[in-house]
Amino acid sequence: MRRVILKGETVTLEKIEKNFAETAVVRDVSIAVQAGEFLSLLGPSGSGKTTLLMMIAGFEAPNRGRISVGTRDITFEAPNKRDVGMVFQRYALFPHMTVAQNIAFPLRMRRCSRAQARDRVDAMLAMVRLEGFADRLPQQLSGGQQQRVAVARALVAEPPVLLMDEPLSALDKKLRETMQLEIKRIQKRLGVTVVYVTHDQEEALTMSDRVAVMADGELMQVGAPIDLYHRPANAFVAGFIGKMNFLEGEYIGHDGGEAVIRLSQTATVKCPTSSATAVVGQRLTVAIRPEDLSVRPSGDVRPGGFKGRVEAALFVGAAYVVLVAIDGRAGEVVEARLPANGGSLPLVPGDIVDVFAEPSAVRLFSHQQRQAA
Amino acid sequence: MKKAKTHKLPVRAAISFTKSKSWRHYPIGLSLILIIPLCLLLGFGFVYPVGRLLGQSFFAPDFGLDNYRRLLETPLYLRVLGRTVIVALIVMAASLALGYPVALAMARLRRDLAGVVMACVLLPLWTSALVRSYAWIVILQRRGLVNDALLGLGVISEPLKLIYTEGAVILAMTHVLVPFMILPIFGAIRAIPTELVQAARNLGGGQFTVFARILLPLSLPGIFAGCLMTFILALGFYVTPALVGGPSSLLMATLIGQQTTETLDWGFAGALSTVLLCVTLVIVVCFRKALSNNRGISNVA
Repeated sequence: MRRVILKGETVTLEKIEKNFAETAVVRDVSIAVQAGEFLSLLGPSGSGKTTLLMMIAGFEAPNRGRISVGTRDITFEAPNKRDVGMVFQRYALFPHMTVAQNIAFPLRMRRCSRAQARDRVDAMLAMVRLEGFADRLPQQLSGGQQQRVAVARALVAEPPVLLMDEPLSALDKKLRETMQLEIKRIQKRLGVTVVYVTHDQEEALTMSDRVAVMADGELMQVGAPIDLYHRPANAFVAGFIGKMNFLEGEYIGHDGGEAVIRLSQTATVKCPTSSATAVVGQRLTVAIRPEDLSVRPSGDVRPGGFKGRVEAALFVGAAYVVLVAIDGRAGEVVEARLPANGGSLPLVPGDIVDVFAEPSAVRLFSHQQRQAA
Repeated sequence: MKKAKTHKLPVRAAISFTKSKSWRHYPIGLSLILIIPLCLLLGFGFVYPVGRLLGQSFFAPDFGLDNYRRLLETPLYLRVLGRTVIVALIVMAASLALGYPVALAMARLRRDLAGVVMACVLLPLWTSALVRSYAWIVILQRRGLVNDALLGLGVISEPLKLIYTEGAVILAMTHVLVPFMILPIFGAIRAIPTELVQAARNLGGGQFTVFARILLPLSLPGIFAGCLMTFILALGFYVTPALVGGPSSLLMATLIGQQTTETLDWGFAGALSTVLLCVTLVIVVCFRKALSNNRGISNVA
């Protein structure tokens, strides 16, 4: 049996713009995808991520900008000449062809001999672990199996780039996780460049080498999952990736190299000055991850911490989630995530607690940025 | 054949599912009461008179197969039967050739534009076949539009015989029946998800390949339905052939009409009807057999 070997190529998007009848759906997006990289386009629906993918596939043409694969400019190339594989949201298998005929389709388009095509189809079926399904029709397969056929079909002609449009969204959670690993395994083995569209941030974080976060047709940030999580470029990314507490406050000055933000009469937080270029009195948005907050039964408040009252303490398996109402801020609640460590939590609703955030884990965003997000 | 069968299973399942659902919606008693008027109408307005007519072929004027013997022993009648089948096939083929591109264009147009084309297809359908047939007479007659134009241009010196020919019958019948071809094909193409076309393009298929390998096979159920509909309608078409056809292009329906209204030979009319009905059934069955080997067909078959 023939081993399938692929070599990924770079995908370069330069200043892409796309309008649908006066409405800008993609605005000035530039992304350079490395050869062999797994890059996710992540964003809420309507963020322009699918439109971007459709432009790489050639089903939409950008109004401005340039798309290239390797050194080839494919901006206005016909879809069938691009040599870019694609897996569709609902698989798009040809219902009147067997699994083998579906996978052989791109080979027949490339005038591959029958014997050679059969070998390559067999190799692909082995790779997606569907040996023995060659003569089934797509509707006789489960969703996960259909998806694996779609992946095999997209890769059999050995394209340097594979596009995936929310390929797992139709599957249930358990199967989705299996398929994520499966797709990663295949991608690693073939070295193909993958551009993967999803609205599921968890999926994007677990699968991708880098994630491009999009909102309202604009590129918010491109980076490794860990960078997006710990160093979000703006409030939108901070809020979209993982859980985040957003609190509004007022910059009141410096204390030993750290900026001090007042949340209420009695509550302040501190953060590194590097992330704040503000004038005294300016309104800012403070962002803190739930796991970066520590909650202790009330004692002496350490500087930079604040008092609060426990609203709810929930056991969620790996951790406790504690909702704390901030002293002096009516109705505003922060979420803290405390490791469970086997013991029971000595907190019950109504307890007065001290909440403390390590300054290095606190991020500041300007007021407008938060509004935009 | 085996493959075709396994393929039918999910379709069957879907049918039984919809059935059980509708049974759940209405109790059986109510369902029966609701379909009684239709059954009565069909029974008294269709089954009984057709049965009577077919029965008379054996009893009028005397009991026996005399009417059938006459039909089979008179070459004229067999020629009319053969001509009817051939004309119906030509009309079907012409409707397919003219209708498929229209259906394809309609299915791929933007919705508002498709609506305009759809109206253009349906408008003639809402006009009486009588009116449309007379329109063809105006166009094709001895001093009609076509002959006048050709004479005026000096292409011909004598008016051509256009009306009351087999060609005129085929032309006018195709015109009347082409919407029955377009609508089912349009429905079939519309039902093909755009992703399939995109996938085929993405995998390296050019426009023509996408048509030949994806759109055409997946629209076969529509083609089948359209062909069957136009063919059966053409076999029994009466008004148009009677108006634009001549004695040399006599078709079965016209012949039956003559027997019942002019010669008042109901027994022979019944025999002709029986033969036409049997020929239609045989051809429909052959049609299905021939096409059921194709997987796409099982959606309608």
